[in-house]
Amino acid sequence: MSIPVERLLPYAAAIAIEASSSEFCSRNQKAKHLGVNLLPNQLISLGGNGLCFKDKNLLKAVKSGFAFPQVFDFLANFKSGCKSIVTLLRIQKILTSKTASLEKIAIGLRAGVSTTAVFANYDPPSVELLRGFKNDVIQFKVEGHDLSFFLYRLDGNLWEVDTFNPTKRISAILSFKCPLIATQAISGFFDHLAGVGLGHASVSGNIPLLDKIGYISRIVQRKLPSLL
Amino acid sequence: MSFSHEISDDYFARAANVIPGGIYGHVAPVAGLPRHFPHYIKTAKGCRFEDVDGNKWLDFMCGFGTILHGYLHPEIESAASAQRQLGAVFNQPSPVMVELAESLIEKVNFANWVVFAKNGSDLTTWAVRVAREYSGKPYVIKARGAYHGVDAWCDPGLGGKIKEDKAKVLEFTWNDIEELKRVVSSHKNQISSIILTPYHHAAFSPSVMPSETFWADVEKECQSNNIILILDDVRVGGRLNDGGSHEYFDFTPDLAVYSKGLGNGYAISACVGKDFLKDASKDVFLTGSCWNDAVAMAAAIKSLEISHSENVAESILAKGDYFVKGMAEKASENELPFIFTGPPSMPYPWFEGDENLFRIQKFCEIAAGKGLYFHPHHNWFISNAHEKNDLDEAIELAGEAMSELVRLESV
Repeated sequence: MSIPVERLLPYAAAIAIEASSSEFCSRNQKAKHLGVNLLPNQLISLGGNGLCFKDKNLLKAVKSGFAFPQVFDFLANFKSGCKSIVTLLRIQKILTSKTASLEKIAIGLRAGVSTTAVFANYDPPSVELLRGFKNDVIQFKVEGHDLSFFLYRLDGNLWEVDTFNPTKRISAILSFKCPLIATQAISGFFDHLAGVGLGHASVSGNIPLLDKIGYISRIVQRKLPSLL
Repeated sequence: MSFSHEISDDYFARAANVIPGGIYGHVAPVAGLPRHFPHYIKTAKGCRFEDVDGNKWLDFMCGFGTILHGYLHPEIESAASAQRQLGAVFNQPSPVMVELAESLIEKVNFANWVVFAKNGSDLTTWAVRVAREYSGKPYVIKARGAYHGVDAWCDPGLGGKIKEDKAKVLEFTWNDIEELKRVVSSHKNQISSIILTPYHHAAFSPSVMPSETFWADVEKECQSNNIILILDDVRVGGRLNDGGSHEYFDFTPDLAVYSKGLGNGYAISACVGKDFLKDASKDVFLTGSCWNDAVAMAAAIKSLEISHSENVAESILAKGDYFVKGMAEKASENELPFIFTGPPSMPYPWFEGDENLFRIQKFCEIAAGKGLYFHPHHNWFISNAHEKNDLDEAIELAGEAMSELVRLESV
């Protein structure tokens, strides 16, 4: 699969929503998983039928919290579309809350790492940057809490994100000192250089790999509109 | 032992408000051991320094190589002070510039002329341009992963780049002469220079010495294709041979750049060249407002004198050898696969099988708790101020750190 460069940002935004919903569903079993389907004609659907956006409208939705979906598809699959919207609204509520809850961090962190994976897989400069890393696992965690995500690439395949380590090895670890710092990180308010110097986060292992992944994640944060 | 970091952290927090990242570049905390190394240093003498919190360290980084004779070397400081009484930067250069130029030409066996700047990058980039001016050819070849400075053509960083920055830079794998030949033949008559360090000393990975025939093969390739050979001796210069690293490896470059050890901590760099490049060099613009700094030049003259009179390169190679052997014994006692790569005066530490660096990081963290400044990601430096008792102390403490590492790993 390849993603046209002009569709990379909407696709990354959609993946952020899908990743958020995966995390949300793991904590709320009745919630609907919002799987991404990249469609022709600059359309992206979330959660199967019923919720489909034009690329530009999806970016608008991610930035402002609201945008019109494709009306015909919504009306034709009203029940499914409504369930998707309810899930979206519930995720939005968690992410925009002022508290640094572990649920918010888990959803935000997974979304952030997943969009980084999108760029690592499909953004040509990012792909080039990571060309030498073919079998690597990076762990993101919050100290003292049972909250971890793994960004990994095995045998030169695509970068993926999961809550478990698919191998026995780890290449690098980024650990946030507390939930508040992790919240700042997912909101784009974390100074990656000063933060490490002050002990707000620690890095260990393959620093050149973390450096590159961190750079890609900052590019994503700069390019991708965010509610946070 | 746990060191206090309060004052250091306080300065760093203030810095983060007014300096992007607090501290940047190779000394950014993230590049070392952020919670174990101090952010700020108050003073240093010989091979030891004291951080702003009053913690005392036995140093093995020597200002990342800038200190060859030891911090605050009395003779060098005295020469610098004497010049400082007269002034540092004027409308025109001071006569010390001429004296320093003559000293360097006398010392470096192939050099007919020399220019000065402040940083290694200033002159590695300029040397590449001189080669282009002389040959009229656009391309430069470098070894993959080698560091030659912060300019766009060679900067290893991630941001602020465009594709064109490196469009005329070709690479080959260090020691792979066949690949070098392929690169040269695929750009026939388009290559102006090959720029190389004396041995391969990339950060975050073991150093690689040149193979037995490497330099002879490179020289031959340059001669048969009219390519200028540039030696980037910025980091190593003065640490293998008093007359430059090319003598240690027995080859002759056309241009060579020196910096780190040249002024023993005073900012200065120099590019020396063969006579046939002198005319071309006149047409490649070179200047900097403070580049005629007479204090740094006075320090460099004294530093060169001491290097010669005290056989410093030989001395630190011997000291490094003693240190490396002592460390190997401790590693063996602890059954750790710890090795040093590169020359003993600039040993790069490595645990075999530790490609992701967790083990070396942990070892250096434990060593830092004992007052040893061992960097996990960069070659270390031995200065001529490291005496036997300093090295013995470091070896003993490192042995304790290794035992502690083994204990921690067995839990």
